[in-house]
Amino acid sequence: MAAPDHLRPSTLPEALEALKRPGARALAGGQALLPLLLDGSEQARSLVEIGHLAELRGLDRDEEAFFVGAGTRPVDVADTPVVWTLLPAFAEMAGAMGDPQFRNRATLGGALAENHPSSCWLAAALALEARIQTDRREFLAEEWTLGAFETPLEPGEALVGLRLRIPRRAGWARIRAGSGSGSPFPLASVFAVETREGAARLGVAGGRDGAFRWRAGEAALEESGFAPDSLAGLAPRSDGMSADERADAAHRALLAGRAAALAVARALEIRSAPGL
Amino acid sequence: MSVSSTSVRMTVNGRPVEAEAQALTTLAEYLAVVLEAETPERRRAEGLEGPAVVMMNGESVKAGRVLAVSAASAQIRSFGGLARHDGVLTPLQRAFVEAGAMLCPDCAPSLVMSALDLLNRNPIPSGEEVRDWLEDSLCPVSDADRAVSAVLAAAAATRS
Repeated sequence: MAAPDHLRPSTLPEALEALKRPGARALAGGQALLPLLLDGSEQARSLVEIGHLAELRGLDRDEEAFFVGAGTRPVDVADTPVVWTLLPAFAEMAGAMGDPQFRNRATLGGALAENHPSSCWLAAALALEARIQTDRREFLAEEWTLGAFETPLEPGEALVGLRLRIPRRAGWARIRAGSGSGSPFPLASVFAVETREGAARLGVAGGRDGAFRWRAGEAALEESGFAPDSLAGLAPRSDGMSADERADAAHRALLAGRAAALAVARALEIRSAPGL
Repeated sequence: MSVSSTSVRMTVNGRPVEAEAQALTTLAEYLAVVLEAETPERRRAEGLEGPAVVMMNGESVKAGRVLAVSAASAQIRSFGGLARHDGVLTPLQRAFVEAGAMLCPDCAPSLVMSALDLLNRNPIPSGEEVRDWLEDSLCPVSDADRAVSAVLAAAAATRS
């Protein structure tokens, strides 16, 4: 296959125009897409660079919510003091995912567009009542995953960002494989939230069809209190979990249950959202 | 605006360079050309083997995971560009050598570059912070304890 063209538009409207070309793919940090293009398992006729676009970078907030641009990198989230003040669990997650070089290049939009079932971003979005915005539509986080690596994003459509509701408290926890496991993703990763209204939300990565809300876990937290003990002995159903050579579905479900309890414990431990 | 092969300019180790790159030419491939690192030995000396971590505009990236065209106009520093031209090592390189932490010829240069990124952000890291930072970059030949003590020694040497 011939080498693709490379385009570096300077504005979002220019990028959207370029993405209308047949076979055009948006390239932000390239941490998800680039390895697939290099090994030939994905193709592009044009690569449209979007990671540098100012319209897609940055974090804004109002009293209710954070807006995180699709071009925002984990390191940007982790280095933004107001995130540590209002949503420290999100900053903790961003500052711990992958390795430092991944955090310097990967983007929120790239991860959401890839929709790797073990990615932490969508799990956090589900717990944080997120709305996912593209250049033409808005989705609830629950509407995003159509299966592992499948999303409603259409060719030529660009992710703009994510609007996250600031919760009463939130915690994130993961369970990692030993080093040298060959995967940058943890075995289990759960984002736990108590909303300002007092509802519990658990976003779990590692589902067979992508990240999901663990409703039974949420019900247990609402019934018995927002505490790790409320999840004792519980785990998501194993038939909804992904499996690979590192962990089968039953083991992954068990680890997700443990990670959920750890995430709730962390939410109770870290101070967040003073003044709210 | 669009061509299949283009001339890409950037600054590598303080020197302006220019070379042809296709859209899928990686920064690692580009750097191997402009740094004349055709053999494995030369690529090791420049830190372009293994994870091939280089500094791009002051942040560490894996050169095989960045396109050369994406790095156009960037400031790049490779492991081979750290030491002064007269061969005097930086405090961080010296600390790695003294701690016996230059164990894997492919990966150790990348550990040094990754540690440089950490010290740029956090000049006084704790041992745990260093370990967390380097954890995913350690190959089976590397030694986490030696690498951590090297970074802590370099941080202390820079402070004194």
